[in-house]
Amino acid sequence: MNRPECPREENIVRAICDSHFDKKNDRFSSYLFEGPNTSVNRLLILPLNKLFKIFHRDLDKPLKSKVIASGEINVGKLQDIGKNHNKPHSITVEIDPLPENRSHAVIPQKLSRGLALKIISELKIHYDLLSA
Amino acid sequence: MNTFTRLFDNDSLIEASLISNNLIRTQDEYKDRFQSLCCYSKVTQPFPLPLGRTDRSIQFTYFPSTDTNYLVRIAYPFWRETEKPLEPVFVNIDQLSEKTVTILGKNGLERFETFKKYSKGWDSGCGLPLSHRSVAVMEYFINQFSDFHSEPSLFLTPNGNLQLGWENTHGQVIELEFYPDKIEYYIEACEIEEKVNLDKKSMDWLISMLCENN
Repeated sequence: MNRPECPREENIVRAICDSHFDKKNDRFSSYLFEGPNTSVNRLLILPLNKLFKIFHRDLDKPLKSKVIASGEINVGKLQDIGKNHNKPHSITVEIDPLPENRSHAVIPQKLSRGLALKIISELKIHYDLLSA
Repeated sequence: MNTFTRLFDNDSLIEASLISNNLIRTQDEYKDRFQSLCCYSKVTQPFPLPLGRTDRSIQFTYFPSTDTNYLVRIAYPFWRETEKPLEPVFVNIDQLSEKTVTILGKNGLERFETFKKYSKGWDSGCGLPLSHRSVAVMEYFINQFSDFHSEPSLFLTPNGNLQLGWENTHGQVIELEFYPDKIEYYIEACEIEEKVNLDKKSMDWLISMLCENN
């Protein structure tokens, strides 16, 4: 099934859980963007405050990882990082609305650790003040 | 015969598992295997206590009585010849050594204790619980390499593996993931992303790469 691609102009956010983010040392695990099938969300469809509510509803469970922030990046920038990597990689963001989250999209590709870390270094981090 | 070794350097409670592909059916069979363990171990007192048995493992616990180092060799004379020998493995552990705690710091220890509590499905319905074998492999690595310029970060991956991340003196990322039977690594300084087995030669190579790019 072909899913429509998210345009380059859009910005997406990825939920960041404590397992993949060491807040004290300000470091991320490459797993945040390694994929495959990395879940992201389109800011054009839902604003950040509503997305945080969805993240907490879907991801915060007892004895599980907890959402503590989100990382924003422009789709075009994400694709350029892939294209300009030392081993160029085509990255797509595919629109994949869910009944409980119509902003949902997916990056289907499996990325290398190095590429994932490069993307992570370009994220704009939004902390969820309510989860602090 | 496969021999598995691990150096313990503290006197804390240690749990280990004798792993076997063979079902251990009788007390006599257990006794034989256990005695083979004792033959290769300096530790005979206090006597290890069997904790339980499954179709794949026998667990035992012992309390080292002095603060001297113990070299525990777990011998497996009972492999059938037709069975494929395993790669070297390490005893499962669920505690960090003092050395590792010193390196990871309070924050790392807290993260480790949190990860231990994660249940299956912790990562959006996927995510395996922390692998105690992965903990053992990380301990094995830190026993050989501890030249971190800054406090490394500890992560848990959806495979249930521990991962360490830090930067070298030039701010370039180094990331290692400790699988039960290998270590995957990424060294930004030379843009290498590969894996090594846990044999001595491969580990020596990894350590030398890390030292060169640290």
